[in-house]
Amino acid sequence: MIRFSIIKAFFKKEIVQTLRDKKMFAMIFVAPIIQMTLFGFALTNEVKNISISVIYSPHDVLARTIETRLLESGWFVQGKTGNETDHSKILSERKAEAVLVMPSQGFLKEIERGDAKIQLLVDAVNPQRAVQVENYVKNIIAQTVSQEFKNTSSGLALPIDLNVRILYNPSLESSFFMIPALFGFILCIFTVMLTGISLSKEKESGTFEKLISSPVTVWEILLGKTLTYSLLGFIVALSMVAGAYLLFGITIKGGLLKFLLVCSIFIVSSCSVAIFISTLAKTQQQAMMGSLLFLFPALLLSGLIFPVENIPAYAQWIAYINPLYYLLEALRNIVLKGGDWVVIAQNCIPLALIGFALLLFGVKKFNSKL
Amino acid sequence: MTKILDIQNLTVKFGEFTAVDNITFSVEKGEIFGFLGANGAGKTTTIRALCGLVNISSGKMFIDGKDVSKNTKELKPRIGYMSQKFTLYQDLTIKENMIFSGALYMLSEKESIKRMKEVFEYVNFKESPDEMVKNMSGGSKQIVSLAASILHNPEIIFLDEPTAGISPVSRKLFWDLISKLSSDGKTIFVTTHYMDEAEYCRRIAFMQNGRIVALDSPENLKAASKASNLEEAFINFLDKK
Repeated sequence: MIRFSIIKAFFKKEIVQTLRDKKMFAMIFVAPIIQMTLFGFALTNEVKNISISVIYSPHDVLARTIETRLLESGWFVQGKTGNETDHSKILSERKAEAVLVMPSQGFLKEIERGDAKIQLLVDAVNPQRAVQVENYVKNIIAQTVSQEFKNTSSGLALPIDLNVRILYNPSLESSFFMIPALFGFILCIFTVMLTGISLSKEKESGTFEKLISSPVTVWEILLGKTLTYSLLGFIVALSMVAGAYLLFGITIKGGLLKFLLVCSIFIVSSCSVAIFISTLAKTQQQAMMGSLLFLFPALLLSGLIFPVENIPAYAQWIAYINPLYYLLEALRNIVLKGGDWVVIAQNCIPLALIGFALLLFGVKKFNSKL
Repeated sequence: MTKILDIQNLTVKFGEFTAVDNITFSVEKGEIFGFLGANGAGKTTTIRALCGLVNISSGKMFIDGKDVSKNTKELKPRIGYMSQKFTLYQDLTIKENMIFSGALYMLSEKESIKRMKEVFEYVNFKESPDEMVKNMSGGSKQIVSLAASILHNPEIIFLDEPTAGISPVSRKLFWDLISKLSSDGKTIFVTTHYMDEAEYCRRIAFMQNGRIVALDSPENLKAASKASNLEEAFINFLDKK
């Protein structure tokens, strides 16, 4: 039995308590905007300003064109070159981050002969950066070469794999990739932390005893709590959507309705996690630590920062039971691509199943006794 | 007199630890019944069991003839419980606390405010209802706490160490209030470890290690142990064991 008037009383109480606490207020409404700005601007994994040195013989016109194209692309800046015959020294002495060594006989001639060999040396201290450098260079060489040979139907097999396509984020701006996921992550933090903390606060201060000595049911307590903080989570998510539009010009291609639908399904999972945490935590601090113990692995295995495909197979299954993973997949699709219903279903069905399982577990563990 | 509380062979265990060990007693309607004992004697656990807050291991508890374990939902609105811990929300005002407490018992906001005024008049509480709870004195907090637990007009009121840590003047005021409630027909079940307070009770039970070692009116207990005051009586009863 769930009585509406009791849910309403909880809602009113929680809102008053939350808004009266100035620190809490700031945490709810200011922190997400700061986080979004940080993630969007600073925490970019887009690679720029790579210093590159191109080594070629003075008469190699094609190589010169490639060099010009590289520098014009905006990703590269001119690196220093030395007189060394050992090109790797350019890297080790940090004169450049990448060295492109063209054939000494001339690139064009070698391509015509059919065995063009070019060498790219990349400083791979940061492997992610190195992979991107490689892709940029490959792309630019391929473009230049194919333009050069456009009119001659020689049907040459080009010496480089050209199969690099960039879709949906043609400018490769990482904020486009980060922001939709960030909506989801903030929603997750909010529902897990605030619900967990507010439930354990009742236990810590002793008011929980009063609640369970009254004729209120477990479901009423849980709904009263979770609905309030879910609503706050939604308000924050929506204010972030507005912020993302103003700061980055990001709009939700799939529309707000799909966005809210996926978020609502996700909230069942995150609230259930919070309920479970509150069954173990006796104080607010414990609830906070418990939330972090959930949030960090959930974040790392969600694909927010590291692609799940790159995780070793034996750990991937954790990602596939991580509700945050499905939320982020769905949100990225909805925000960037418009949200195909098939993709939404592919993510929402596992999400709903996980949510339902967590809810059963959380409520079963949640005891109305002391 | 009718028995309103009837406890038969109640035992509560937490793992290996036996908090309440096979106790049997009853409380009559309208009486002030006191539980005395050291910390850890099992007073709080007994109250919690009666309010349905802990799982009992064995035994039976009846409130007005109804089995507590089976009729929890029906009985809860008929009892008021003021726990040892402070159970008001510190970051809400007195009025907001009262409205929330009332709502738990299905009182509308209007009804709660009306009852709050009645109860405050009854307990002679004169501070502003818009005061934040955290700014109140210890004595005032206990009065408001009691007011919150009788807002829904319960028949039986459980008070777990209601006067711990408040000033002697506030304690006196508080006990006047308990007597007043009792004379209006409410049954009061109270725990304390102040011996002077126990004199207000019609009957008291001495508890030790989860057992009741003596149960009678203060006069009889003193007479039976040939003691001049309750403190002496209490010590005498514990020594016998």
